[in-house]
Amino acid sequence: MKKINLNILLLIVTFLVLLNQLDFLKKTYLVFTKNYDVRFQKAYAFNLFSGYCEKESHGYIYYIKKKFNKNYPPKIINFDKKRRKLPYWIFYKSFNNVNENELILLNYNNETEFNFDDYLIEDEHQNKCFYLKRK
Amino acid sequence: MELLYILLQIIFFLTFFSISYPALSINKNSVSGTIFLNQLIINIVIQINIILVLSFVNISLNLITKIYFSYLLTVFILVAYKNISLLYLNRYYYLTIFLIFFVLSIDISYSLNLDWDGQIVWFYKTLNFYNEGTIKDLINLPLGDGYSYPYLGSLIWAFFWNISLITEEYSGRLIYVFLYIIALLALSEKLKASFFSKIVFFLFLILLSYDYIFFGGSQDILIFCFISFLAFYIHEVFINNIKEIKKLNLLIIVLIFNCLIWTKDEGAVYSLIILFILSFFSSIRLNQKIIMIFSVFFFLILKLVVYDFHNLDTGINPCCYNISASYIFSNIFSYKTIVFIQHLFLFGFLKNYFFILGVIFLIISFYSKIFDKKNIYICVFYILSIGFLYGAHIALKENIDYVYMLKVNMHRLIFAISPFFILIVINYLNSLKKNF
Repeated sequence: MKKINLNILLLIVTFLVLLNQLDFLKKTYLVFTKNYDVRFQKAYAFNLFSGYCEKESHGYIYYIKKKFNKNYPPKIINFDKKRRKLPYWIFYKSFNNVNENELILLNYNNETEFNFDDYLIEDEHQNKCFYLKRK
Repeated sequence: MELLYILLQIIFFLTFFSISYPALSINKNSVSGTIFLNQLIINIVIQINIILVLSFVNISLNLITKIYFSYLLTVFILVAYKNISLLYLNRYYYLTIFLIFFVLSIDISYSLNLDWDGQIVWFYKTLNFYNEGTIKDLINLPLGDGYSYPYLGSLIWAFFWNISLITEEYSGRLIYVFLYIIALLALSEKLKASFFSKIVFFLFLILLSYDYIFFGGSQDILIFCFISFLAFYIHEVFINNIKEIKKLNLLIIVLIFNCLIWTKDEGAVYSLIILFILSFFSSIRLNQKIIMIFSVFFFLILKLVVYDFHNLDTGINPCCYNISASYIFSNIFSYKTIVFIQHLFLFGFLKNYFFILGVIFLIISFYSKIFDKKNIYICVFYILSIGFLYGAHIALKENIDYVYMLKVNMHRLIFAISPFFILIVINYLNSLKKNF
């Protein structure tokens, strides 16, 4: 009987350690209170290779998807000097299904050569990330 | 609402994989965890193989789903309903799986990040199937980033995403969590101890191994799970010197080999390594060895035929590897070898608690003279597997940033083959119990 009690105690302690290690209560609360959109943007905001409007900019792309209710991804151009992945997958469409008439520019700066004349600016963030539509 | 959907998803998984065909006969007076887990693994392996085989015939995911549910319904009506009382008999196992599954699912639904491989390679395959594409449409994926890679992991990701009430992709990745839990439970079941001790051990395994990066879309977690399932069956073969494997278990073993082959290219190599060990180090009957050898080669050829039929590329990624013998030999005594060994220890072994524990218990068992020679097969597995990883590393072309690749991949690659480290620990604990 004592052995079983000890086992149960050990079981409970181990389970509580697991909950603590995973920060379970806080994450449960956040999953309960924050919707997927917020969690997604936050998850990539602290990602080593991404951010809201820097590096791969998952946050900004996701924001455009939601704000404009996009079903197909606009073409994405990332001006970052490092080679970056282009996360078209955020739109949940098969590979190569891209709307060429719309454009998302990432990591743009004033030294970057790009002709805005052909496009309407639908959205911009800190003059660095843009969502454009062909005129 | 999302929390409720996560709970429902967990119930879906437990329900689907509890519908058994073939159903094992169980003495209801003596409920055995081994039989329960055996049954669960049988259901998982058979159902995953059904989904996989259906995908060969170029049908969409919706049709695959309909056929899958027809299968489940038929099995339930004809056979499985008879065993419904087993749900109650195994209630503590169900409760354990349910609780742990929920805890880990919350972590997945909070973390959400897809890793590099997940974003570049695996998720596009998932999207192909999710958007009603078929195996034939995989040809639209970029060659360099692997349309030639196997796709089982992406297929089941898409499948369980498609039937989920959660519209986001992570719901499909919850199947990986489920398989991971069953894999660790199956390994814990090898411990000769009470139910509670096994569950405590299982929780320790989770504490030591759970890391979100394994669930970020890469397929190494599936390799880990399938090798664990194989270990669940073949461990008995070596420890108890079994000469004849039960027919059903033999069938499941070869189907697990098939799952490995269709998960990653490495999976095919690990299948061959385990097949080699079973053929040369076990005492099972020759006819069963021949069946296994033929089955594995049949599945390997089948994969080539299916890929060839659908005009998919069957070659090894030409962008990255040079597999000419002269190139490989010229690299053996190069700086590449030193870099590999360095990263193997730093990012493979020292970050893997299963390895650390395995080595500690191996040394202790040598020192206390209770090392069982029946464990040698585990050492052979690791020598061959790490030898393979080394071979793959030195075959990498010079223009590949191999230092970076080792840094980001080594942890996952060693984790994928780590189930046998756990068995070393279990063997030691079992031998302690026997000696006292």
